[in-house]
Amino acid sequence: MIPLLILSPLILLAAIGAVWMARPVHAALMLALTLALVAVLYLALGAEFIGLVQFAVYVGAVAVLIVFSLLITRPGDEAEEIERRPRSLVTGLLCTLPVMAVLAYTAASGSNIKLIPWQPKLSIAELGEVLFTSHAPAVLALAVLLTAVLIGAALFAREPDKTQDDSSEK
Amino acid sequence: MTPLAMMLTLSSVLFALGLLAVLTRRNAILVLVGIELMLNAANLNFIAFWAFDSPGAHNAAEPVLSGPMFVMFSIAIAAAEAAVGLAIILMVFRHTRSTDLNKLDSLHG
Amino acid sequence: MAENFHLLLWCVPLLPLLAGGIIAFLPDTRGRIASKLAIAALFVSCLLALGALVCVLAPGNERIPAPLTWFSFGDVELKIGLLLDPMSAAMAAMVTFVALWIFIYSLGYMHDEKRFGRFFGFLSLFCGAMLMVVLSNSLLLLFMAWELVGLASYMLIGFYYEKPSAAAAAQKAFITTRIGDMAFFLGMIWLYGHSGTLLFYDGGNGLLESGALSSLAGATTIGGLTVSAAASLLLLVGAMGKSGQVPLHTWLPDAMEGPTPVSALIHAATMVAAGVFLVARTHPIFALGGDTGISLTATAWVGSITALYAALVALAQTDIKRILAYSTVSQLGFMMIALGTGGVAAAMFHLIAHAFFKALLFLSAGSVIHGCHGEQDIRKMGGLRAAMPKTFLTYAIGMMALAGFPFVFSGFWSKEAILHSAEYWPGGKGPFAIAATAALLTAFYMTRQALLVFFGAPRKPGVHHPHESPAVMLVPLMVLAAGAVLLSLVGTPAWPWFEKWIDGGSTGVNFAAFAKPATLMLIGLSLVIVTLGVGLSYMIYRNPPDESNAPDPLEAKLGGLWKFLGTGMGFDALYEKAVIAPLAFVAGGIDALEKQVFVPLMGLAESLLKRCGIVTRATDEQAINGGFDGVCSGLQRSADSSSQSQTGRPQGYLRSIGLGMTLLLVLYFWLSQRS
Repeated sequence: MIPLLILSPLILLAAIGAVWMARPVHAALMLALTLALVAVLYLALGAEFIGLVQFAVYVGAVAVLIVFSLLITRPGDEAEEIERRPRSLVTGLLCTLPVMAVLAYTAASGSNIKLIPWQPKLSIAELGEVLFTSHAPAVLALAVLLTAVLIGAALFAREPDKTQDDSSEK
Repeated sequence: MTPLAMMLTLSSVLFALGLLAVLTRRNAILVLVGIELMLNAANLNFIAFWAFDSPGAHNAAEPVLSGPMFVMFSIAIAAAEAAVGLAIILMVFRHTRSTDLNKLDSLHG
Repeated sequence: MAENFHLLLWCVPLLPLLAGGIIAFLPDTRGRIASKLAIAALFVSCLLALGALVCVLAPGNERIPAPLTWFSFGDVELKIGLLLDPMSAAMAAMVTFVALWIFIYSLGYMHDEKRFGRFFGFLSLFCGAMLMVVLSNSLLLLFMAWELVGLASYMLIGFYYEKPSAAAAAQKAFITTRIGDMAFFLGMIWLYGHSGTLLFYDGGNGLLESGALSSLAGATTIGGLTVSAAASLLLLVGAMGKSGQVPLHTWLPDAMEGPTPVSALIHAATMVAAGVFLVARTHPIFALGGDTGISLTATAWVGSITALYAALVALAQTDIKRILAYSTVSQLGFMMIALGTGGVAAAMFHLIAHAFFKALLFLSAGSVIHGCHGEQDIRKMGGLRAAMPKTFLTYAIGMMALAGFPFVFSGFWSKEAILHSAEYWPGGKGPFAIAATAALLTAFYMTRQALLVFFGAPRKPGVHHPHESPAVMLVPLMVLAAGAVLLSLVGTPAWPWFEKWIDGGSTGVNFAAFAKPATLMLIGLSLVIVTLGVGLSYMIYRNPPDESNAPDPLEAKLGGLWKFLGTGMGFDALYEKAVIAPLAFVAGGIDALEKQVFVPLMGLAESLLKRCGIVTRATDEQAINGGFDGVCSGLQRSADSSSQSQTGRPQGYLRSIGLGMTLLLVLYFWLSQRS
């Protein structure tokens, strides 16, 4: 409970930063911070392995990928880089506030179900066993998906080959 | 407020913040940032229900792992999604020299 | 007291690392502050390391672990920690002390450098990582610090990254050592899988304590090899990569592309010492197979081959720093011989003595290069004794220590200890004979270098107006020179204090030890070797040619062999042919496959599809379109009017979706509340 109390406001502050920061790079760094704090929350809740995976994949790969993409897609002039405060904030809030209200109300009111407290312990050996026995098809499917993504992303991001283009246009 | 309710509230606020980013940021990459936030909110829910309320865990002969399992798959897919999304944005950037969504109006009727 | 003590021990490696981290955030213009910060951090950590050394000297304090639980996975705890014992304390004191003087020297040497601050940041990182290597009580922590050392060395060797040769040398160092690191990693995992711990000493449960050792020695694996032998061979490959043993040595001479203080640091105190230290630290695992077990035999022979090879190649080098580089490789071979033949203490003594005099030699060479305006070719020097007398003096001390001049130089006694250990090895006299030959060659090429650089008349075309270096560079030289001499006090046969201390015993002064026939014979042999090496060299290079592009006097005697030695016996060319060329061939083959096979196939498919397209197009245009067009134009007119709402902005659409979703949610919520 106590780590939750400490971490929740921090996570929210970092997330607000990620949404609100004017400079794209700052926003991306705040995102990395949010993800790292969520990972710490996982660690504190006893899901150590998930926390480490979150660290490795989200903070280590995704956030870094985003920062690099921002660096690559820098617009030429400085003024454009600093994004003005979103003009469409009103419609944005109009869309998001009800969603939040409904979700939060449900969460707060629906949790009056009787809870039996228990201390879950995530054992890596069990996780690994489940992953490669009952969940093996899902792992295989994910592997195929990741391979497809790898090839697709490489194809998309590749510098277009000039000669190839010419021949296809003919 | 029970810890579960707190976690759920946290995740709903996080989700709303992600949605706000998706709807209002003009930089396409920052829209992706919003999507990551929303995905994390969902993952948070899985972990919350696993940590605070696992039906069937109380007479635990079988380990209850569906929560972390979902999160692991979700993280893997989120990484894939980010990679493809960023690749698409890069390609768009190469065509238009911009990642500003307001300038991408080729869907204009 | 214990808690505070652990904290102080952790400070030794963490202070330089922290300084490196802070410097990374300083702008390049704050170079002065960065250098002060780095030197201050290292100074404090040097004081702490010396304190730790004194602490270990006290009886009953031989082995102090400072454990730390890194994190726990469910119920598996991952422990790391530091360990203070004679070996680590001596290494830490040596690393901090030598590195501190190298830092101070760099103040003068790198004076005009634009990226002055960054240089000190890298140096700090390098030192901190090395201190972590020597103080670690866990193979895992050692490995992490080991990789940090590799990273820092990559950045430092490639410090002049605008120079293509420097960038290439950095990559070569990184990749070559990575081969060794891979083996190290495999060995580490194997050891962990077998014993369940990576801590060296853990109150009886550690890797190097009897329980784990006997289980390692008991289990056998493929080919009847015991697990301990297999894992220790893998660790040996790791050490070979880092310590530049044949055949993974090729990166070391190229590492000369870095600034000279970096060469001194890599070759003396830090990087290359890490490999030897690894073998010394895990020596109990190596020794499980007995004195002539496969792992120790392999260690001894790898060392022997390296020592002889590098000494031969050093004969034919003309770059002042390359000679020293090959001599480092050769001396590391000596240390490996000592480790393989059971002389851990002798190896450590040579390692520390070598750190002093090799740092001294490199810094002196740097002073020579500095004074000669960047010239590194010894053929163009000559007669520098007059122009830079102080550098000459310190250089001479370093050179005599390396060549093993008798009695007052540390190199003499440490080599004597290694020869002693090799002579009594039950596995054969090969390493002993090779070590003696390599020692002779060492004396030979060091004399050649000293004669060509400092004696005779200045050669033409040569260096204009060589000058002496500033005091900030000379003082470190003198301190290190004093160290190279004074260190000999603790390692003579009369008072082999250092070796007994490393082995965990104590000893008194006993001058009678000199009179033992075996010792006398070895001392005599060492004397003969040095005299022979120096004498031969003096005879050949007494009157070096006055022209700087005249052939070397030895070249006439050796002929084609000289060229072969000059290129390092063709290792680079061999790798070019044996590794790079096949890879390039395979890559070319795949490229050709794509161009010759896949592209035509795709073209074929494309043209087939095009043919089909022509047919379908014809039917399309003739039959379907005509009727369709009329309907379409009607639709288009009505669509035009409704397309006004389509702004084409993705987020507008998204917003509509969001609003719709909200409405649905509210509706759902309302319905669920009503029921």
